[in-house]
Formats: sequence, C-alpha cells, structure tokens
Amino acid sequence: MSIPTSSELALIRTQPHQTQMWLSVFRPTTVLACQVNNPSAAKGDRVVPYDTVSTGSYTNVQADYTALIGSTAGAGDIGRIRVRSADASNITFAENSDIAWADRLFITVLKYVDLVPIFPRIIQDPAKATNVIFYKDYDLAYTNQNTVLGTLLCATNHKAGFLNNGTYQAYWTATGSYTVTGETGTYSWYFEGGTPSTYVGLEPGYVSYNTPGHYQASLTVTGATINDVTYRYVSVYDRPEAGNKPPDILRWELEEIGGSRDEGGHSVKIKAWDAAGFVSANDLIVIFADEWFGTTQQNIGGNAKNNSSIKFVGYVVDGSISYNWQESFVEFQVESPVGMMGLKEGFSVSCESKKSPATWFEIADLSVTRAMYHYLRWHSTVLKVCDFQYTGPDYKVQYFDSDRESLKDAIGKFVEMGLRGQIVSDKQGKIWVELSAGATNNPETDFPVALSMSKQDWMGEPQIDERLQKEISYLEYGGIAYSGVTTGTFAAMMSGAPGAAPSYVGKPEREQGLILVSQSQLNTLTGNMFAYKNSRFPDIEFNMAGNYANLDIAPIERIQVNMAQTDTSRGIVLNNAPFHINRIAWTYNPSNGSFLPTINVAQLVNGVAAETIPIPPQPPDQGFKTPSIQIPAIPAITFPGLDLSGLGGELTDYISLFGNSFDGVFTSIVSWTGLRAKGTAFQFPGNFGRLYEVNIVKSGVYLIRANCRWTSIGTATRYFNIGIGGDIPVFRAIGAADPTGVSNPLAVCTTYVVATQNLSITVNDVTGFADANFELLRLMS
Amino acid sequence: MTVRISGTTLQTQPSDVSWVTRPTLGIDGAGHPVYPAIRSAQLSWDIIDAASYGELQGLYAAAGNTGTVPVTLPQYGSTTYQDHDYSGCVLHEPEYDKYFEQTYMGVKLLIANIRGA
Repeated sequence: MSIPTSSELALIRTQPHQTQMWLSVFRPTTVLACQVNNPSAAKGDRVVPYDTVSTGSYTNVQADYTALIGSTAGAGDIGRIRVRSADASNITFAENSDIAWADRLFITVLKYVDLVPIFPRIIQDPAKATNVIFYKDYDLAYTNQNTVLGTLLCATNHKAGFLNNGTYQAYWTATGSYTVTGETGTYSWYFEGGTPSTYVGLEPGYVSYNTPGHYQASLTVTGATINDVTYRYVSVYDRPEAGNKPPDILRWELEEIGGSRDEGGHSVKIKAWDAAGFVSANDLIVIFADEWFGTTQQNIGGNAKNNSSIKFVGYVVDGSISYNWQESFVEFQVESPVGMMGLKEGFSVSCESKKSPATWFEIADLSVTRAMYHYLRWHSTVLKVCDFQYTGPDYKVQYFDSDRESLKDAIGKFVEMGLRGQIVSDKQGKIWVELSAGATNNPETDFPVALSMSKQDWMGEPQIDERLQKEISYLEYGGIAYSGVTTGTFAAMMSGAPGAAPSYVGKPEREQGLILVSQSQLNTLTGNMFAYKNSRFPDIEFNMAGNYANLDIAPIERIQVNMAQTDTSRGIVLNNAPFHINRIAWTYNPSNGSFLPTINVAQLVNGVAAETIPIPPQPPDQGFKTPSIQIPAIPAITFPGLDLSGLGGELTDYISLFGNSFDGVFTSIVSWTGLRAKGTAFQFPGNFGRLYEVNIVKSGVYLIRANCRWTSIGTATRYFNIGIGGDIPVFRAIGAADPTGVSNPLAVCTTYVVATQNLSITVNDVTGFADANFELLRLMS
Repeated sequence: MTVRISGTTLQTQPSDVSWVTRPTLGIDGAGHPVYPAIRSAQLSWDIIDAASYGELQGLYAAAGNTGTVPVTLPQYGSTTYQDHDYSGCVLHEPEYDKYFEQTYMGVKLLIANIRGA
C-alpha cells in the first residue's frame, strides 16, 4: 500500500470512479534457437552440444535464461530448463533429470528468467570417503561467496503500458536495495529499447519507450566484492484504437482477484476469450489500468514510485490453464511471486555463522538478511526477477536451516519462527519480509497512516468480528540472543505474558526458537503479541465505496478507523482506532468500470511488557531426584613389558604392523622423516623436542601405543605427548610425580587414530625423558 | 438531434434516445448512493427498413469484439439541449422485436461505456 498524498486522498474520495483494466502477457525474445547435436544424448545431460542455429547467437545468452526444449521449432513440449552458460558449441543447462534429451531436439533460449529453485549438489569426497563436498548449482565450488555476499536488489516492478503520443514512460529506481555487508556498490542499468539505454546511479527516473515490443531491463550492482544482477520486463503496446500492436488479449475478465498476508500475496483468476495459444505456464502477467476519479484521469496507488498504473504482477501457474473450446475461452490462475515461491520446492539448507567461512555451509557473521540473501541467491532465481526488501531488524543469528520445502516456506518459516515475521508480495510483485503487525515495538504507532477512514469510505454496514473474551490465556516465548562471531556469546531467554499467572480464559500458547537481542526486547515482543492475539477487533470487513487503489496487503500500514455510534446497528464507537489490512478482495466489473476492494482489517494494539521467565543454569528437577549411579572401578590394564634394551642412551623403537593389509614391509606403510631416523641413537633434545615424525603413506585405522620412562628423579609430573598431524599434542600420557625419589617412573599411553595418507605423527618428550617404545598398529584399511 | 456513430450520421435517426438509469454500486456509510462513472444510452426505433438496420449491424461489426467508437448523442444533463461527442463508447449488438413486411420493428441499440455523461 502506498501512502497517498492529501491531493490523492481527496481524489480517491471524488466520485464517481472508473477503472479500465488491461492485460499484458510478456513475450520474451528468442536469443538462440538451435538443435541438439549429439546422437548419444540422454537423460540427465547438462552439457549439450548444438548446431543448426536458426535464430540468434550464443553470445546473447546470459546465465539463468530459460530454454524451451521441444520436438518442433520453438516448442517446449519436452521441457523447460534454466541455462547456465553457452559457448560456440555447447549449452550448459542446470541440473535436470526430467528432460529426455535426444539428438535433433529443438532448443529455444528465451531472454527471460523463470522464478525457479536452484539445486545444490553434495557428493562424497573421492579423496576421503568420510568427507563430503558441497557444490551450489551442480558444480560451483566454494571460494569466498559467503564472505563477500551481496545485495538484495530492488529495481521496481515489471511493467506494461501504452504508447501515449508515441511514448511510454517507465519509472525506475533501485531505492530499497540493501547490501548485506554494508558495502557501497555501483548501480548500472541497461534499458533495452529505452531512452536513455544506460544509466549509472540509484534512480534513473523515467525512461522512454517509443516502439511497441517486449523489452528487458537489467540492474547490476558491483563493488569491491559484490556483483549481483536483476532483470525486469517491459511490454509496450499501441492502444487498441491507435495502432496495430495492442495487447494480445483484449477480451478477458477478472473472475477473482485478492489475497491475504497469510497467503503471501494476491492471486488472480482470469477468463480470456479467443486467447488459446496466447498463455502458457510461467508467463509473466502484468495487469495495468487507466483510472478516473471524478473527471480526473490519474493513476493512484502501488508501492513502486511512479508506477501507479501497474495493478498486479504475477505468473501463470503451471497446470492451471483450462480451455473451453465450445465457448472459445481459456481460464488460468496467476500467482504473485511469493505464491509462485510456494509452488517451487527447494533443497534443505543448513548454515552456521563463522568468522572466516571455508565452505558453503558457513556464512560470515550470519544475520537475518545474510541468511535470506544466501538462500535466495544460491538456491533460487527469486532475486533475479523480483524486488526483495526486509524491513525488520538485522539480528545476528547462529544458524539458518531450511527443510526440503518450498522457497516460500524456507524464508517464511525462518522469519515466522525466528522473528514473528511474514513474507508477502504486494500487488506489484515486490516481496516484503517484515515483522508481523503485533511483533513491532509500538504497533499502534509504528506504521505510517495509509488512510483515515470514516463512513463515507465504505458501503453498507461493516462486518465486525468482536472478540469478547481472550483466545490466548498465556503466551510464552523463548529464544536465543546471539552476539555474532566477534564475541560469539549467546544467551537463552524466556518471557511470559501476561505474567506469572495466566488469564482466566483462553488457551496457553508456547513458542520457542526466536531470534533475540535482549530480554527487554523479548518481553516487549511477547507482551505485544499477547495483546495482538487477544485484540478486541481481530477482523472488520469493509466494502469500500470506490477504487481505493492505494490499499495493499504489504507493507503493513495503518488504517485509522472512525466509527460513530450511529454508524452501525451495534453502536460500536472507534476514534482513529489503528488497524492494518490482512486481506483484500477486489471486484472488477468492466461493464460499469468499477474496481472495488473489500478489505479485512485487524486491530493494532500495544501490549504490556511480559515478564521474564528465569532460566536456571540447570533444569529444575521438579522434586524428582536422579538416583546416584555407582560405577564400578575400571579394572587395571596390564601392558606388555617394556623393551628396556635402549636404556642408558640407546633407544629401542619399533613399529609393529598387524592386520589384513600387513605386507611385511613396513617402510611401505610408514616412512621416517623426523629428526631422528629409525635405529639411530636416542638423544634428549630438551623440553618438547620432537623425537619422530612418522608419515603414514597408507590410510587406515591405526592403534598408536607408546611406552616411555624417565631416568631423572623429581617431584614434577612427567608426561609424554603424541601429536597427530603436527606438533600440537592431542594425547598425553602422565607419569606420576615421584617425591620418594624412585627412578624410572613409567608412563604408558595408548590411543586410536584414523590416519590418512601423509598424516604425520609426532612424539614429544620432556626433560628427563629416558626412552620409549612406540608402536603403530594398522588395524584396518 | 443528430445521432452519429463512428462519424456516420444514421440514415434513420432513432425515434427515441434514453439514458439508462445507472445501477448503484451500493450506499456509502453516510447514506449516499455510489454510482459507476459510465452510463449507457439506448437508441430505439419503432420501425426501420432493412437498409437502416443493416447500417446499424455494419457499425457494430466494424467495431468488432474489441473496438470502441465515438458517438454523438444529446448531451446528458446539459442545461441546454445540445448534441455532444462521446468517445471510447462500446456498441452492443442491435436487436429487434420482429420482422414484418420487409421492416424491422422494435429495434434497439445499446451504447455502453459512455464517459462524461
């Protein structure tokens, strides 16, 4: 919803209203048409050789463009697939399993990016079976992507319009874009078919198009490390009475148009006559309008600056197209971008906050925006075709996890469970992620006023749902406040509303997993949500008395309702009572030019801060005491006797190798590359001096055992270290202090390690170290 | 009164031109009716010859399924009686009650989507 100016508000209240809707179906340009040139082409192919180019060139192909695979030229009967890249002989497609590739199939690459998921690939490390390697988009290895991150871009909506006096003016701005690292980027625009055709800066303003056609606009943001691109599509038409290139579909009707915040956006059902063949799945639909308020022709509304004529942007739902051949019409469903995200399934993703990410599942100083950017950038094309704006606080978060679920649920559940937020498309297709109406600090005043309405603004009697008693008796929220990777601290917090004692009526509700910053913030959130869930007026339905085109379901804005006692039969009185829109259903009647919304609004209320629930260091036992467990003493272990032949300066060291892989030649198993070669005289190199470095040349599970003795007498504890993969001790054998002066205290240490090729094992000594036996037993390969 | 459709003066002028009463969209909370912005006018002929009826049918066909036409009608609500040009109007298909002795009787032509009236 956009905030109307005072003059716009006056215009909205000027009767009568008229709306003339127009339907645009974007027709992407073909940038490359060719045929598969591979007699052995088969299911699962990604790199597809081609020849017989009939249109365009591979040089026009950009990453993420859409390709139709068909049995005839231009057809898509075999499949529709995202393009990764193209060169003079091959096209590389996204990972696919549902296309039966065959020689001579027709490939049509469109200058158009579908809203689709991008699949990751996880494989077993061929060099080490116990490791896995993560790739994005089949073969993108991790370098520094989760450190440099990027930008949640806004470029305004897709557009459609008429040439008026030979020109269509389209307004562009990148306002609302947000680089998650804070880096300042350079915004570079390219407008195909527009004047100017290029612009560098945040807000190009109006761009003129003077030839009917379908065009692509692109916005690229680049910086020291960031590099993102997003595309928008523009359809320019002659007015039907003024030229020979009007919209393809002129005879159509809006059977349904409406949406709610819970649904994530608007959906539209369209019936079009004589339109068979003009509509196919995933087509971009733009509904635009001419509007009159009184005698003034002017467009009002829309969140995108100076794009008020765009009333709806969405995509044709696959499988929703039905034909009535007898009456010559086609019906189809169009969903908002968030609605389409709900129909596209992605893979599960799990990420952790790290200071220096080294792999795909680590993200630098993870936060809410960084998590969303990572998911949407690397697991979908959403950011390539939609504005995306997050309006809430960018809290630090230690983990981000999404299940194998829809793109909408991946983001929606993250913000719902973590922030009490929602993901919603506005009518123009911009994706808003924002805290829900009860989750802000001051719901009654946080949101700007979109409309102060009174009885002149609605028709009939409002349908008022009044909550006469609480639905929620007790609300308990809990979560974690994570400080980020710099300090790396986190604290668990809980809060309860209304307080220690619940209300007498209603049901209790408990939710955990919130992303928090402080206990006071949680208390405020819990108190406000408790009040919101128990508000007196959870739903009032108004049939608006005109084309209140500024109203939308996102972002959340305030509707101030004024209702006198005499306005309703129930005598309810409201004075500038704050509400927000939860749902809008529009009725379009082209025969009388009316476009009327019915809105459902919910009351905004400030709550009283909830009370802190202390979290004890250990869970309370609630009277139940765990009985103590008697653990029997560990039986003494007898070790084989030491080979003491090396005492007095001579060391007997040996390597014993057993197991199935024993080949009798231990030098093929290990090699001695340390300071001291096998069999050479033992020397005391001093504290922590390295004795041996053993490089294992065969992978396997080894038993390492070392026996050692000290010749000196003393009271200090003696110990003996074994380091794996370097000098850092990972295992230490303690020799007891010997205050009585007994010589040759003995320490024995035994450990198991899984060693791989070229992993070194070092043995360190301390002062007074006498000698040692060192055994390395290869137990299994 | 001279009715013209798409710039063509009808060879047989209608015997009656009536503005169709606008249905209200509803009543606002203050009790005022909410009207649509556009009106319809109905042209009527008690009896018309085949050529004149064919002219009406031809004008309708020329507009096609998607076209709009300019229409000259007596101006609605004017303080003086005068003709007025309305643009962007939509023609419904002409209709008649019966065909008798090479004439059409009870002919009606509805002109819709008339703005500014």
